Order: sequence, then structure tokens, then C-alpha cells
Amino acid sequence: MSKRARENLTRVYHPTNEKPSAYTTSDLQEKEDREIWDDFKEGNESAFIFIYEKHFKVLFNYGLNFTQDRDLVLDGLQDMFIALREKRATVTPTDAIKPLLFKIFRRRINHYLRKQSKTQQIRTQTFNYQFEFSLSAEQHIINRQIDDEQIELLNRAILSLTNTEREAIFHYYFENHTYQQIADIMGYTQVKTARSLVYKALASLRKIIEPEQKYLFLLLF
Amino acid sequence: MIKKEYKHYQLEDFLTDDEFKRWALDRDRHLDLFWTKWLEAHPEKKSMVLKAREILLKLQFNHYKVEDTEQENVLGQVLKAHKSPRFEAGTSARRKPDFHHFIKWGIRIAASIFLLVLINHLGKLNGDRKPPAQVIQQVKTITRTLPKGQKLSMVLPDGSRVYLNAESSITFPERFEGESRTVELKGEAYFDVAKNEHKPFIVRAGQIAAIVVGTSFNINSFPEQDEISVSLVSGKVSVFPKSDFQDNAGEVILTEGEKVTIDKISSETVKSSFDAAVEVGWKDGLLVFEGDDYKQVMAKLERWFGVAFIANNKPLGHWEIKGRFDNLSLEEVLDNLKYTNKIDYRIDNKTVYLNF
Repeated sequence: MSKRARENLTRVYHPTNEKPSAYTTSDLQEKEDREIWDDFKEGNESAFIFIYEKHFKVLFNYGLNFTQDRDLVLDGLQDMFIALREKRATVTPTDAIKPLLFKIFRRRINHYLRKQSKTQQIRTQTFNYQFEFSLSAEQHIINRQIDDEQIELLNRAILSLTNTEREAIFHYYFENHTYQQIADIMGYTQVKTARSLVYKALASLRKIIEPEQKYLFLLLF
Repeated sequence: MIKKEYKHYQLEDFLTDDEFKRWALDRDRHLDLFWTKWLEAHPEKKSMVLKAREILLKLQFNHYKVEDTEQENVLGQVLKAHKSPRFEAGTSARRKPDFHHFIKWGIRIAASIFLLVLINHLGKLNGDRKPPAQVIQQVKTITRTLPKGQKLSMVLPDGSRVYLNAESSITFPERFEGESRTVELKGEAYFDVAKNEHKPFIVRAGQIAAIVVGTSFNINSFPEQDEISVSLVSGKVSVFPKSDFQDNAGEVILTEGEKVTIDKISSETVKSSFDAAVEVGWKDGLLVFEGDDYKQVMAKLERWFGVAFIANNKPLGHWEIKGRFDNLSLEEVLDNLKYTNKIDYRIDNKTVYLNF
């Protein structure tokens, strides 16, 4: 019996007519972000807790890309969720909860980092290297196009990208945010700014493994 | 697909293209067809396309982990609206999570919204008969009922987590007001109770009641069984065989690892230890048989998978099943039993026919 067939065997559950204000996890997984967010805004505690539990870990991971200070990241999460809960009625409605939380969290993390660097004599290393990523040297791809030497060159080149460039790449490839969402999160008014950030960073990497082609020959007369 | 000039693309154009990214990372079969055909038509681009794809597949980012306990600790602070000291200035006073330190949880309700305590549960508990305070606001009660074959995990208004087993139901108020948090259970559930020393958590199941303060435990009170059992995984639980708490009659206090079974007819209690996998494994999809006879096995499988079982005959001689099935499908379990020569089976639409 297929999984679908097995699921169809269970009797259909008819909820009571009143709208429950405590949700089951299975209920909420079927709801669209917009509905969950609206419910949260209306004061539904279960929706709030669901949003918290669904996004806590990815937000934590995001925060630790800005700084290795775990306590700072946890404080940021704590204060952010408290603020969201307090001001839930006036918080902006949204169709996508994750990028909105990323946007709000980014602002708060950077605020705390700036505050911290003001109060500390020694500038922490937190600002120096953020959003670390690299190309894996593992050999599990058949028909390889890039050799080990090129991988090494690329990984070294990635180190010299700016934090902002690396963050944009993180959003696009790891968190799968759209360019529109990236622009929103990182505070750019134009979507194309976000795209060109990723584009220029990768173009500079490409030049490492492909010396300049003879573009002169493609000129149109 | 928007008309793009892929044939003029450079490496970074492919890398930053939404459709290309989706093809390279998600293995979309629809896109696979497009790209295979396109590469056949533009073989000069093959090397670049494969290179781009390889780069995307090789990208690796850091993955920073956080403990579930840290997540729960922060949630506790959030629900109490305790801002971090960093909010004002200075450094964090955050402690490492300490299991022996009871963190006070609770939902602080703005005084301007709720006026009076509704019903004095604690009064009933102690046997005092105080007149109930005036009901200013009607609090809705919610019941979630599960049929056979379904389980669910849900969160109660105080942040406590409940795993509800098949053929079970739980009733609770929309908001926990008053001096305690009370829920009613039929069937079986595993509770992970949010700590609140000022508001004990009470579960009424049939004739018994269990009072907890920050605890993880399992209550089993299926109607066809002769006993109700409460198994304590962590924390502390007081079990009252008679849920009207008269004279604290027969109160049984459980410590971690202890289980009590209450006979429904005599209200006699028996304490014992328990195997966590057997008692509580169901919530993680672990189906356990400990020497179950054929009727018990059929009942368990019926409840677990929500299918009907019909026995064409009875087993001869001694027949029992001992085993643990970790998140297996119905067929996998049945095949397993068939392999050990315990049964033969046939599935017909919504029914399983068994031959022993």
C-alpha cells in the first residue's frame, strides 16, 4: 500500500465549528505564512510559539555568521521575539515570515554589535570575517570540470570578498531567498542592487579560474 | 520560461540565474529536460554549464548548532517578557543552562486586560469549598480528538508540548487562567510541561488526576484496558487515584523513572520502573511489542495505522510478538512478521486479512 493510500484510510477528522486558538503542528504546517502571521498578530499564542520554534534555529545560525558571540546572538533572539510579541498588533503583515524575521534580526544584531564595540576597548574580531563559506574539495562529482588547484584558488579568493558580498551569497544559495527578499533584508531599495552584489562577487571569482577571454573578438561592428 | 539568451551567458550569469540555480540544486525533472535539450543544441556551452553546476553543488556554508534546551530557555524568558540586560546596555548575564536550576516560566497577562481570577482550582484541591469567584470572561474550551492511525504534537497555551496518540483526545481551555493549568485526557498522551511553580499543571484522565510541576511524563488510559498508567520521564508528579482529591487519598508521588498503574475498579496502585522505549517510544514512531498475543497485536496495529484487521483463523499453540519497529510502514511491519513465520497477510483496500 502506498503512503498516500495509507493516509487515506484514516477517518476524516471534523473539527468543532469554533475556531481553535491552540493549533496542532500538523494544522499549522498546512497554513500559508500570511495566515499564520495574521493569527499571530491577532494574539494567537500558539501561532507565536509555532513561529518561534520554526525559525529559532535558522535565525541562530544566521546570527552566528555575524559574530561568534553566542550570548549576543541569544540575547538578540530573546529581545527580538519579546518585541515582536509586545508589538504584534502593529507589526507589518507579510506573505513570507522567514525573510521578515531575518530582516528584523539583522538590524538588531548589528545594533548590538555596534553597541558592544563602543563599550569595549579592544575591538572584537566579530566584524572582521563574516559569512564564511567555501567550495568543498570532496570528489563525489563525476566528470569534474574544476580541478583541486582551481578549488584552492577559489577558496582563497572567497576570503577576500567583502562581508556584504558573502552575506548576499549566503542568502541566495543557502537560505534560498529571492533577490527581492535579499534587498529587503539587507536594506537596499532596489532589487538589482542585491543581484549585482552576488553577480560581481562571482564574476571576480570566475576571473580567477578563467583568465580574461578575448572579448575583443565579440565586438559588434 | 522568460526568453533569455543563455548562449551568451558567462559563468556568473548562469550562477546568478534563478532557473539555473533551481536546476542545479533542486534536481527539478522538468528543468532537467530543458537543460539536456539545450546542451545538445549548444555543445560549446557544455563545459561552462557543467562548471557552473559543479560550483553550486560544491558550495558549503557553516552550520551553527544550538541546543534544544537553549531554545526552550530563551522561549521561557520570552514568554515572561524578560528582556536581556543587553537591551539597555552592557554585557549579557546569560548563564549556561543548568538542569538543576528551576527556571520560572509563565505567561504574564497584562493587568489591563484580565480582571479577576475565574475559578479557584486550588480551593478544590485542598478540599476547601470556596465560592467560585465571579466569572467575568467566558474562556472557551478546546478539544482535539484523534482517530486511529493519527498522532500529533501540539503546543498548549502555556507553551507545554503534548504528543497525542491515536484514538485519544485532549480538552483544555483557550487560556490557562486561575491558579492552575488543567487539561482532560482520554487515551494516551506524552506531556512536556512548561515549568511554572506558581501554576501547577493538572491532567485528569478518567478517574485519576496527575499534578506536575515542570515535567515530562506519559499517561496511558485507553478505555479497553483495565488500568491507567502514568510513567514519569523527568521532573516530579503526584498521582491521585481519585480525581476529586478527597483526603489526598492514595496519593502516589513518582520520581524519575517510576511508573504507577492504577486499577480502574479497585483504585489500587502499583509502582514499578519502566522501559522508556516501551512506554514513550510511540511518540517518536517506535512501535513496541513485548510478548503481545495476537489480539493485542491486532488492536495495536489497528490503532497505530488506522486500518481494520480481520483474522481468518487463530494461531495454534503459543503465539506472541516481541519486537520494536522504528518508523516503519504498515507493509514493512507486516513483512517483518511474515518473515519470522508469524503471519501471512493480504491487504485488500482498507482491510488487512491475517492468517496465522
